[in-house]
Amino acid sequence: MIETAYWIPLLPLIGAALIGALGPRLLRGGSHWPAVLGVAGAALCSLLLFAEVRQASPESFPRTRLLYRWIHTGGADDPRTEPADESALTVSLAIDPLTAVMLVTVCVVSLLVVVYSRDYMRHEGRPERGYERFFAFLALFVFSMCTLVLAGNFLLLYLGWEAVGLCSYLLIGFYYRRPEAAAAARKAFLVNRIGDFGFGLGVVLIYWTFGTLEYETVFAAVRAAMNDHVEAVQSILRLSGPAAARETMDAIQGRLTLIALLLFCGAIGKSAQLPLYVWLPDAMEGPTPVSALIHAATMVTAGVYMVARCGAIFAASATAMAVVAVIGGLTALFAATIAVCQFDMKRILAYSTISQLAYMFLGLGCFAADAAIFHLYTHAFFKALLFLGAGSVMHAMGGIIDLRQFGGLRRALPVTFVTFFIGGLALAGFPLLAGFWSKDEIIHAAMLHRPMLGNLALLTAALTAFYTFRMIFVAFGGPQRVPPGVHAQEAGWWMKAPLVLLSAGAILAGYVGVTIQPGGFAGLFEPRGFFHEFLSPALTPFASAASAVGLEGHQAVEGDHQLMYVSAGLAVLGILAAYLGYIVAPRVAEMIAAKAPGAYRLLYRKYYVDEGYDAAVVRPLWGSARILDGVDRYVIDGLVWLATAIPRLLGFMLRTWQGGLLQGYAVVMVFGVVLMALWVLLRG
Amino acid sequence: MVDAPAYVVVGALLFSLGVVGFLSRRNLIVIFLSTELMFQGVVVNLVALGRLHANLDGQVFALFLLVIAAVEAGLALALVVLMYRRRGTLDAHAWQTMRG
Repeated sequence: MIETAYWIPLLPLIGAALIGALGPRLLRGGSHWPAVLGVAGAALCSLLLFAEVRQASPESFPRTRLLYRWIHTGGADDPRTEPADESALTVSLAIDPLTAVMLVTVCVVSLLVVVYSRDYMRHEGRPERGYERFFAFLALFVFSMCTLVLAGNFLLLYLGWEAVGLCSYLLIGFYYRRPEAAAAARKAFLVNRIGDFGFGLGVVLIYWTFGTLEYETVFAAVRAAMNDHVEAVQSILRLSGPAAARETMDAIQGRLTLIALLLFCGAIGKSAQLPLYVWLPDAMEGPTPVSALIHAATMVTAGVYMVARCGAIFAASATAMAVVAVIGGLTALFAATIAVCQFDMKRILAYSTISQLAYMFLGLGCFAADAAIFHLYTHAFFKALLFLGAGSVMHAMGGIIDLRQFGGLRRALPVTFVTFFIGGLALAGFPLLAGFWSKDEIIHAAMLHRPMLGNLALLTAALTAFYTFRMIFVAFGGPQRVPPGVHAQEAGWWMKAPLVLLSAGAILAGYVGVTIQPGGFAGLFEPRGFFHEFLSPALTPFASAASAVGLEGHQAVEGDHQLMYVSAGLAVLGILAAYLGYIVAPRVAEMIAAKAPGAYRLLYRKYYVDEGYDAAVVRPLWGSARILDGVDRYVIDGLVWLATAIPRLLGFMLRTWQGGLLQGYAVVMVFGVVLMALWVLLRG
Repeated sequence: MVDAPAYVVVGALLFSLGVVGFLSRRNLIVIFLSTELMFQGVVVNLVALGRLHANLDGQVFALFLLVIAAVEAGLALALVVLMYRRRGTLDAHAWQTMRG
């Protein structure tokens, strides 16, 4: 099983290396092949791995394999330490159902995006500038993401984490000559860095507390602590302070909360939640396949994956779970409100992604980790579909993606229209499509544990349906209009096939998480199916924490489908409102905007958050940088100048003694001789 | 024969005259002349002290010195000629370029 797993990150890496080495000279227009083949191989292996994991018994997980011991201290060979003080930083892989699901999602969606990119990065059949660079970075990204998912310890996780951040920077700034793209790439990297700083501190704290970074050891220790096995805890942990049992348990609780919160900082940055979401809308400056892959389906989900993976730590701390849920709930609504007033299709989708990721965190925070991962999986399909569809529109419109500049494209771009529509239905949570099943479970869990957030989630669902279909109706409905000089036509099959496949996924992918039995929703469907059963061995900390808090899990209310009908109804309502507002009576929207200009402007300008950051953070930093530069130049260089002034002064003074005259030197020589002679004479 | 001290004093006088001349004259050739004077003072000293010790060591070394003086004369005069060609004058002050 592990053998199959080796190939999953390795094949794309080889592809990337091949493109890097041979691309510009040899492959050129064929540079996509190593990427396509590498990622296809990875996808195949991930499916094989999934099959193997399914065959194996649930208790045999997680399976870890140590690949390489990097830094190794202590142990029997090291004379400087006790044998028990052995610790090592290693490269190790771990496999369990969660890994398998993530890998399938990542690799399959990546493959479709890479295939799509082959036509997207061409204009009139000719590859764009930097074609090779694009595919090399894309393959490198797939390698990084797979490493992150397969990691068996926090070190490799951190490596993958940073590597996907790097690839994101490289790909957002792909059109590096555009100042907006360069600025967006920098912003993404810096904002991520802030989150990663917290994440790094969390990892360091884990090492300091547990003495190791391996998942198995750390999570086992946490579980032992939570089960009040104090002796086990004291033997594994290295807590400083008194050894009294009670104090140990309190100390553990506090320490675990701190670790969880620090790790969550990284998730906030990487998965674009409040307050570190600001980089994601700007990241739309990158080519659309990048937005589809990295900023919708895979990289941004790394935060969700990490919280799920570290379930033992998070579930042990009620505070951390509360923080996760609250940030999730608030961000979902916040982002949805901004999306309502945007005109750039990609930015609408970006805010939508932020909102849906927030749903996932809400699910995690309400102990419904399997629902969150389920939503991650379905969301990957329909969000990638929507982004690729938007890319198709952009490609046809010659690079324009502003809704105000085109409309009524349903006849010109039929395949795009139909697939985009399907994706929109899934995103809006229209019943029976993938998004409905997963989103509904999260709402259900939220209603059980934190009803206020549950209501926010319902409101957000209605808004989601509204802004999604606002976008669809404006772009595809009504009379056709295109920017001048643009001839709108559908692209080739390299771009159409992924759209079709993803739309099939958007419809069908949800059914793996649903059981078909009489008496359920719409007479036939019961939430929770194969997907959840498959994942449960990997997500036990959440389930046990839920029962510890006294709640039996989110699916306890068998037979109660009220909430499902409510959320279905809200989705339909949102779509209807968009239909009325944008097809039936298009002037209504403008009238509403005119009636409440303040509110409209607030939403349109994204609550002025970017301006706020600029004023509160960016400008002060620039100012202090200038001050420090002045200090460096005048104070420090001044001190150096002073230090040199003394020799210079001495030299100036001594210079006057130099006559340059031959006889002057001779005089001094004579003096010297006389002195020597005197000394010789008087000595004796 | 006069006593050795008298000869040594003569030698010392010659040497001092040479030093003074070296230090105070401006003409390059006169400076060199003073150098020669210093040499001769030393030669006289050597001979007189050799007579004092009643052996020929002093005189032998005086012969050495004569050769050395001659060689040095050749060298110094070559330098003076070159220096004159550079500055067009025999004034030592013309070479004050290293003046602070």
